[in-house]
Amino acid sequence: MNRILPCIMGFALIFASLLMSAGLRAQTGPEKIPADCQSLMGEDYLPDGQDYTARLNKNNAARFHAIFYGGNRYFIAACSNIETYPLIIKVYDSERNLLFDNTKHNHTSYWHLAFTSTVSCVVEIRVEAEQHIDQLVRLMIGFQKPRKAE
Amino acid sequence: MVYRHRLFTSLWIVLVLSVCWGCQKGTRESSRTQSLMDEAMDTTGLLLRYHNNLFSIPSPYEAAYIIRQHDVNFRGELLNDPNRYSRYNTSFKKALNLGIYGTDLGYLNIFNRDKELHSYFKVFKSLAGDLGLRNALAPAELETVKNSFMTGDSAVYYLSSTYRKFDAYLKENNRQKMGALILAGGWIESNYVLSQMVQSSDERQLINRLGEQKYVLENLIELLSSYYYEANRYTELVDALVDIAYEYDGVIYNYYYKKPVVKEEQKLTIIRSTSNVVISEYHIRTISKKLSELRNKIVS
Repeated sequence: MNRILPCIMGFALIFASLLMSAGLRAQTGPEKIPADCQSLMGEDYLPDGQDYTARLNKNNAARFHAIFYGGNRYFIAACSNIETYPLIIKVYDSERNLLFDNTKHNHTSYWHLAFTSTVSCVVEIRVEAEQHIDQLVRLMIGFQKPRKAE
Repeated sequence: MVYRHRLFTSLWIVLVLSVCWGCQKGTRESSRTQSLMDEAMDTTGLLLRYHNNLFSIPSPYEAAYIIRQHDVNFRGELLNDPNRYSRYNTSFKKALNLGIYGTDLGYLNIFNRDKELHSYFKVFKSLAGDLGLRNALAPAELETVKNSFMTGDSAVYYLSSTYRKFDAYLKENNRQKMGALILAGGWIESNYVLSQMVQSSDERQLINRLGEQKYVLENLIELLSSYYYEANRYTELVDALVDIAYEYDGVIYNYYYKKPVVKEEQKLTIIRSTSNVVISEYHIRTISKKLSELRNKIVS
């Protein structure tokens, strides 16, 4: 008995440590990147060539700084793997004036923005949750291809 | 017997300690990562100081389209010579020039210069291969891009999608700095071409577009500043961009907010705010000169 007890406890400990290390790996392991929002974009838009993927901060928000040129029309879309909360998309100008808010449009995941002048903006993607949602969100920006007749 | 018992006891202690240390380490690392993330993401200034991918640089093809819209003559001599490809023997130069050649490809396509497209595409493909970017695309995708050059405007669409895939692939593989260099190359080339066009044109919209790069350049510097101490060449690149940004300090940008108009049925918001740019001849000349020096250093 004196021999068996340490053996059992030793194995139990090894098993426990393996479980814990597996748990840690699961927490820090590779994360699934949100689905690409490019499929939402119409053919008359061109992607801007960048991938905007960011982790939500402790306030459950991610901010993307973008410059939109005057005379152009843009397409913005947001994607994530978060199923429990809808994504909130807000666009502010450099003076924090709200230019677009998708909560006023049924939390739509995409929208078109036409700019009469060039504006430096912040696109904010967030979720309204009490706890921190430690997830990635993806923004897509496309600009409308000018028509040849223009 | 006593020896075995001691061995089990020792093994126990080691296991308990390692598990505890592992837990603490995990907590320490995750809390450190979290605190870094929070610190980085909680900045409330205009520009977020975060080394990830939150700074947007408008597509270089937007500048190409605006030049075409103003019927400014295409100047092929401004583009980088595809025969220079063999000179680019570091990943730093290859990444910058992948951005440059990609921009040139867009210009050639937008201005219907089909003859030159083939040699530029060949260099683009080689540079992408050298940088290990072939895996970013499905096997047939590069062929689709190549074939799209035969069908007019869709080439720019495929090219833009390809750059976006390169960017995502580099970020997913922790090679963000390569992605930042490709973007920098694209910005430098498109604004080099734009600034050269502006010098021989009095089109107000083109001049404004050059002046509006003031904020785009700020974003680009923020994007690259994380790599400032990476190596001398990164330092030199950022310093050269900062030097151009100093000239942009002399460019006045005024902005006036106006309430947007929403067209629900079109899922469209019209942003009616107005802005204007005041840029002197001196600043046009100086910015063009500095852009030209930087760009020529990269392509040489």
